[in-house]
Amino acid sequence: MADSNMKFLVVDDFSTMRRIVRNLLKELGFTNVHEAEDGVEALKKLRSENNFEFVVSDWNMPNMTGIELLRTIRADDALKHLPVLMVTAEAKRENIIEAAQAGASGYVVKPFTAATLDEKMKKVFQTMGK
Amino acid sequence: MNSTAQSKKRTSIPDARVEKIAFATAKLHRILKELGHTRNLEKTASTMPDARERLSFIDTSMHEASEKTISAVEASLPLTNASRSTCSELSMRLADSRFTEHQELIMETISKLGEISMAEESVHHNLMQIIEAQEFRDVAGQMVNKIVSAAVEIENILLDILKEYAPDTKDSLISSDGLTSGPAQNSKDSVNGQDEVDDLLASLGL
Repeated sequence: MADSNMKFLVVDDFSTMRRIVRNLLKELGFTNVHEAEDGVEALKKLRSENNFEFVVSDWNMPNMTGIELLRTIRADDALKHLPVLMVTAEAKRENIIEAAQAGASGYVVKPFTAATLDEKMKKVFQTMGK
Repeated sequence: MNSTAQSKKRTSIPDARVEKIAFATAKLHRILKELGHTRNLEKTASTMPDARERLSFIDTSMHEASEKTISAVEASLPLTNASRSTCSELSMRLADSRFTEHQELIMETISKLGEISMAEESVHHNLMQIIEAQEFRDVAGQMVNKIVSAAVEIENILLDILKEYAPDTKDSLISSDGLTSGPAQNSKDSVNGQDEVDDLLASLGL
């Protein structure tokens, strides 16, 4: 099972949503959770702190969207190994396909429960071999 | 590529639907001119800032309500977790105890502690459901924002029509800043919070 001290970055422009995800992660045993309100801030944190282990990102955000963030992460040698779980209200097939092609590690559609988040994260950990 | 092909098609062979819309628009313009309906249109346009303001109010209220809810849940979760561990710790100690008297009371206490612990687990589960339910804020907030921008767009369209057909602002029902200002502040004739209600009641001798 994954390390409970694993460092998370939760990216969402809605502060309420960040609080919800933070609480759900806590419920799953992860307490080392940090926040960013858009892709630009997320990238800044990922690059400056350089020890994040998991990214949970919304899609629709100002400045830099979640899909742009994902593509930038995958194109960056220092970050491309990071698991990125998309958590979004975009439930269209084309969105899901686009995210998968861009290298998303998982895709959770809002509204979701702690159980769904747990299931998707376990899947990500399995493929990571942790 | 597809869109350029389509626009070419539109200019060369007019779409029947586009023709219909053009016809309806021309008809609307003529009717407005002939019947002097600009005044009604002004009324409609003047309700738009109000609608926008109300939607913004809904958005703010939703935000505040879910933030308060999450804070209350965050404060409660550790309490139920602590109660659960206290229950299990106490029942283990009681089970290991060597009291010779009151055996029945001890057994009953252990069983009740188990029940309390199970109830706390349900409370914990329910609290998590309350947190999950707050996700409505995200999706509903996005919808409200979309409606607000639609209202702004409709307002602008109506304004354009008005400018064309009722250029005399002296004749206008709407003040010039009424339409262009953002979500308005609280109007002067509404109160702000219970304190102001109480003050007002007190000034009325109640």
